[in-house]
Amino acid sequence: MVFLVLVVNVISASPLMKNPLRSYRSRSILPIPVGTSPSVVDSIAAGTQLAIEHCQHAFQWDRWNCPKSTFTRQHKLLPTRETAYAKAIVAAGIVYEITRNCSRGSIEGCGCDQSLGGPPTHLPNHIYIENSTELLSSLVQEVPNLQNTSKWSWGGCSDDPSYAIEIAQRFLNALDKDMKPAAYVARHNSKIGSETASFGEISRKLKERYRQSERLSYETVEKSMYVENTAKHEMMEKEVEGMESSLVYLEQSPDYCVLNTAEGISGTKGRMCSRNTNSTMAAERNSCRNLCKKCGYTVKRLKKTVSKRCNCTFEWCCEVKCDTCQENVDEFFCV
Amino acid sequence: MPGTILENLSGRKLSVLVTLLLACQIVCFLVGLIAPSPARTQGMLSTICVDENPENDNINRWFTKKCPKVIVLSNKKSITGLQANNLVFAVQMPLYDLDFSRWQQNLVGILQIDIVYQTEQKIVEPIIELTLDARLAYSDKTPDGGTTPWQYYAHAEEKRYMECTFDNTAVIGEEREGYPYNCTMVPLFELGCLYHDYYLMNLRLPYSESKNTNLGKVEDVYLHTIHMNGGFTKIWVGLKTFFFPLIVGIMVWFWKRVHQLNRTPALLEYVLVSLGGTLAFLNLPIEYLSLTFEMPYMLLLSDIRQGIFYAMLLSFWLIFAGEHMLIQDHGERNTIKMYWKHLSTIVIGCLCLLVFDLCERGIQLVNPFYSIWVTPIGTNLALSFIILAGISASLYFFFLCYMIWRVFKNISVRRSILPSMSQARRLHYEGIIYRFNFLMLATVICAAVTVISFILSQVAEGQNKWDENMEVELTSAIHTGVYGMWNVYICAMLMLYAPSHKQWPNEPICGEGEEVEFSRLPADANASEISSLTTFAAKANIE
Repeated sequence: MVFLVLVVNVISASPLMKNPLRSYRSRSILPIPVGTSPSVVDSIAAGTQLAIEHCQHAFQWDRWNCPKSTFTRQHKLLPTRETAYAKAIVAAGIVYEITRNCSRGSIEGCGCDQSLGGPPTHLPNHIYIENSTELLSSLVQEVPNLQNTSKWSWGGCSDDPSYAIEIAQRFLNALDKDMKPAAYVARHNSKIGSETASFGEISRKLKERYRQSERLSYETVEKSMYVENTAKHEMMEKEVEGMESSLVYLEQSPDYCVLNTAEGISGTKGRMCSRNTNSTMAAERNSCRNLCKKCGYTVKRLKKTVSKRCNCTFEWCCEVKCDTCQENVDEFFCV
Repeated sequence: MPGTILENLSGRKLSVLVTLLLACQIVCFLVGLIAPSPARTQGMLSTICVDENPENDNINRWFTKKCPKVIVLSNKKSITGLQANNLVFAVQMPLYDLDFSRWQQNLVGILQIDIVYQTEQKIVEPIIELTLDARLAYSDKTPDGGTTPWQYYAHAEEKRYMECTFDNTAVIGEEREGYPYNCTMVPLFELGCLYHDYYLMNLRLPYSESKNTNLGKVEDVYLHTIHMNGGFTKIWVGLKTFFFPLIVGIMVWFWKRVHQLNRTPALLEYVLVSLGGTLAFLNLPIEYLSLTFEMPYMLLLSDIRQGIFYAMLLSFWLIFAGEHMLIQDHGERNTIKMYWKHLSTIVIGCLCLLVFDLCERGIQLVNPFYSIWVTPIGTNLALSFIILAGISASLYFFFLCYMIWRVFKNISVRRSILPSMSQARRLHYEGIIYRFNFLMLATVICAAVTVISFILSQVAEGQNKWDENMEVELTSAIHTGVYGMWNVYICAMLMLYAPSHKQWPNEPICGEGEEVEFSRLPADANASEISSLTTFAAKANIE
């Protein structure tokens, strides 16, 4: 938990994602055991950042606009459907970045199946990871040794998408490792987000799942966790029937209209809304009604002249030449 | 005068031989089970480096994973002020600090270019003409644990075609922004040998008025490599090393026996020994040389060896079936000339495949980035070649089946006259026919498996080039099984069709059932015939 806070803080402090972070990390701000692949840490950081960006973009016209506080957990979050979405998108972001770094070859050993060792681990096994140091030790990667080399020469080494999911799950489950219903729901939602595909695809899919997310009662969730009747008395958990691919939550969303510092809600007062009737997003078309009027605020129009890049010419990578156009725009705010 | 071993071997010895051969076949198959899959793919994400001096023509400037300035194309900030010609996609092979082993034999590279939807940079034409400036370098490990500096290996500017589609129904409006296009993969290079430890690809997508103008917003470039698995090569070469001396030995033995006879060798014997020769050539484990020498022509060479073997095997079956069908009209000795109609089709077919192969693999010796598959015309041509080869293989098979069916019919007609013969003679011929039928069945199975595996391997070779969704994977066991089958079958043919030295008394010895020794009957003694079955069939034909 502490770890993620640090990661997010580090990222928000630096406009560029990759290199500053690496130098920051090498000054060992984070409790990283010797030997942890730096790329795993980088991937977790970059993945979280990617998730935040996508989340804020996807929810820019909603009352809940995906504030950063959702990810830093500086205060306890209610297990609402928004939290559910946030958990899932962070998982997706981390899986995405680890997968990329794997196929770039910068996470050692993530291709060959032997890298993680042992049988595939399932959820209950991670719950008891005690602290973040132990968690990170579990992410320590073996440097390819002689045995790996001969294995590679014999049977090759394909990139294994399940590796990224495995690492991301280990990391995220350790953040919500207790046996309370809220943690169960968080683990479930992280699992929903752990998917390997293009991030654009996943993020779209998750928004859809957010709309169709299901509320569970605390009793249902408690029934899904039970003490195994073995000598170890291990806690086990199972999926709630029919929820295998849905985002789930426990609490009704609070009123996002009004400021509530205790819950980390900044309210919609002062938010910008849009009257762009051409927009294909219903949320944008209705944003002024939704954010301002329904919340009891009024819409204020601000006339503004902005300079924009226009008439750009493109090469396959980048914009090459643009003109600057002056444009009169109306901006709307809730007051 | 002796016949062939097939006719004269005792039932017990024959069954021991057949059991041995079958066991050998099963072992070949089982050996394939311990081998890893023949080839393995590895997908690699390129690192995008910034080349500050794109005008610099020095070919030995290489960008690696650790190049000084790395950018991310999806991050707008990191690309401001850059132009397409500044960007270099660098991929170091293999991943994870591993190094290639020479046992891995060859390397194929396929590009996957990820293009995302951008309102201002939409793709207008679904078929995109790509201009790729691709360079390859190599490096080797040094004894002190370091690596040698990157050395130039190949460079070419190539055109490729890529088809990109967008699922308009799934995503609408603003959600399209940043959503990926569905693009086909692009074959990039094919290396005939993996001599060096590391390879580095530097790819540029040059931009000018005529180059890469229709490309949308590129976000990532992946290189998928396919190489042979070292374990598979080891087992494969092991099989060859085992069979090579065996087949050479049997050939020598066979030819010696033929020469001990006081007649010139018959056509079937010539064909058998040349079949053994092509198999020995195929078995020759020259792969060992590729462990020490750089041999980029290995792929071409093994294709040629395989092709010669196919041609010989297919010709053999035609002649083999023909010899037992007795095409000759006057009982005169058969020569190869009688089969020219049958054989010329095989030769022409194989020549076509050879020309096609030389076009692709031959040019690849000079330019590993060359591919016949890249242009639409080339793809269609290559595809039609493969389809044609598949069709003619199946046609051949049906024709062969037809010939074998005629052989059987021919024999069963002759069989009807058996009851009129003396008991000794009848038993003699019935036994031979039974054995011969068994051998023919083995031949049909062998031919069917060969044709099927030929078609499958053609499909498998083409699949990564025209459709990545097609999943045809020939497992190692099938490869080694088929390879073992050819060896076992040809060994069996050489042994069973070798002239027998047994001299039998004039009265036939008749035992019970399996233990009958099928001796030559004095009436059949004819120095110019190799087997009493052909004589029998011929005689019946004349009668």
